Amino acid sequence: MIQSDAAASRQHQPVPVELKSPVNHSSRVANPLAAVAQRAIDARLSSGETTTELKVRDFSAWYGDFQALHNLELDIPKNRVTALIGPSGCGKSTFLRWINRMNDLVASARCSGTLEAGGTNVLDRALDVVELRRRVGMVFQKPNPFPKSIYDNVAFGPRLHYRLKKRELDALVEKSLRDAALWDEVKDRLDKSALGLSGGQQQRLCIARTIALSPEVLLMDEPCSALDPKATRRVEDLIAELRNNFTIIIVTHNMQQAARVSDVTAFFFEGRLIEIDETLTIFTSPKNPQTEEYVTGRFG
Amino acid sequence: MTLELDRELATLRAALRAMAESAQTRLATALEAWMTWDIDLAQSIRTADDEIDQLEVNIENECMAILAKHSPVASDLRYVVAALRINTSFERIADLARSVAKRVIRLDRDDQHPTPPQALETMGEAVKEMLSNTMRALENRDVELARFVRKSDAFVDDRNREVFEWVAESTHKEPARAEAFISVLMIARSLERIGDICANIAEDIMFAVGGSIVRHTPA
Repeated sequence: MIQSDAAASRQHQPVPVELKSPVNHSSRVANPLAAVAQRAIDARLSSGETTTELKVRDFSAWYGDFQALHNLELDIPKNRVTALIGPSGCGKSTFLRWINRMNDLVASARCSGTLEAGGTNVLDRALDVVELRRRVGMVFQKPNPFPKSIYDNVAFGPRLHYRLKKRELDALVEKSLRDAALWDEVKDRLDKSALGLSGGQQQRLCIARTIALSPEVLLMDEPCSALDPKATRRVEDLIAELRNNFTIIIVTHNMQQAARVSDVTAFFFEGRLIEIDETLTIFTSPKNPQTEEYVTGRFG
Repeated sequence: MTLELDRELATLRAALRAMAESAQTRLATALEAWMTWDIDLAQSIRTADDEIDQLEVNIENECMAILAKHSPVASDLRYVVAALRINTSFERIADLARSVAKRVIRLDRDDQHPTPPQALETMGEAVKEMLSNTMRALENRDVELARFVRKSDAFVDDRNREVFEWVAESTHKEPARAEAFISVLMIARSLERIGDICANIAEDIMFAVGGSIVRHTPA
């Protein structure tokens, strides 16, 4: 249930997400060992200083007359995992699809406001979207490998974007498959069809295919919803490994997954950003009652 | 809606309430036995510990089941975490009430019941009041009342100091009865600790309701 006074409290101020330690009581910790542990956590979270990868200001989007997103204001931190949560139809996937201009393919889709990735205006009409999609890769809900060999799936993008010698391409395919935690399972059958892989392997192949292009941002739209628990675990472990090198934005309906894999969580409702904060805060002490009701499963 | 989770949380609340009432009865009985030198009453506490032990185990199991089955978050998570701590706290209060009863039995063996200082009686009343406020704060998720409980602890500590002075003075005057005076001191100490534990529970309530950790900060 939505009240109008709640609407007033979720207006357009930018919502900076400071990556501090989630429960930062270091000044109050009495136990010296706890203080040491707290400092270690602080150091880990502040290491590699967080900068903004994606800057969103007064961003609205429409499908025809229907306004899907309302005046979004947020910063998505670089080399962190940001989870977008919210009930179906809340606009999180629409937002994700604007980040690499997937909505260009939808005739009725239009938008206003600012959307910058690494300082580049994503919405610039003159922007080369093929290059944008190299920099902002996407992994979809259902694994969608090309009906080609495992090798060719990974080599497809690099062949399109770069001129590489066979040896260089081999090395890139191997590295991408290793980074996607798939190499050991497929190294002896690189020339076999990707369609012969299990669902979980196919999804990791799609991730390998995306990271082969050294993107800065990885968009993931419910990447595990078609996978069994074990394959889900593998992909989540992979996200944990990739977080140091990529800015990952993941849409998920699985609250526990958001809690497990992300550093920052943004809650969307009816096209509006209701709350964005450190994931631990969202799942232990959210500030907005709507967020509380959603994450505890009491509405939405 | 996760009705099942709501049902299980309601069961947990009820179990915690039963635990609290058990501890409260025990404290009231121990203090009554002490005021009236009713040794049978004191004995009844000494022996009836199974019920509260069983409750404690049940509550812990209930918390673990909720964590395992529902992976609660936000206020639900904070409540379950707080409940685990509060459960132990009530069990300790019951233990301390039993210690008071044991001391009363021991004092009764003294040929002449010592007349305890007024401060000790005041302490007993104050601690009972603290416990009942704590239970109300828990029941009504009343952060203000919890804050008040935290503050009340200082009053009990002050009375404890007065009892200590009385014991020191009395022992000096009548060294032969030192053992009896020390038992009085031990009763005061148990009550003082019950006050501390009530303050701890109040902190857990503040955490469960408001989400902030106030332990290790001045009341």
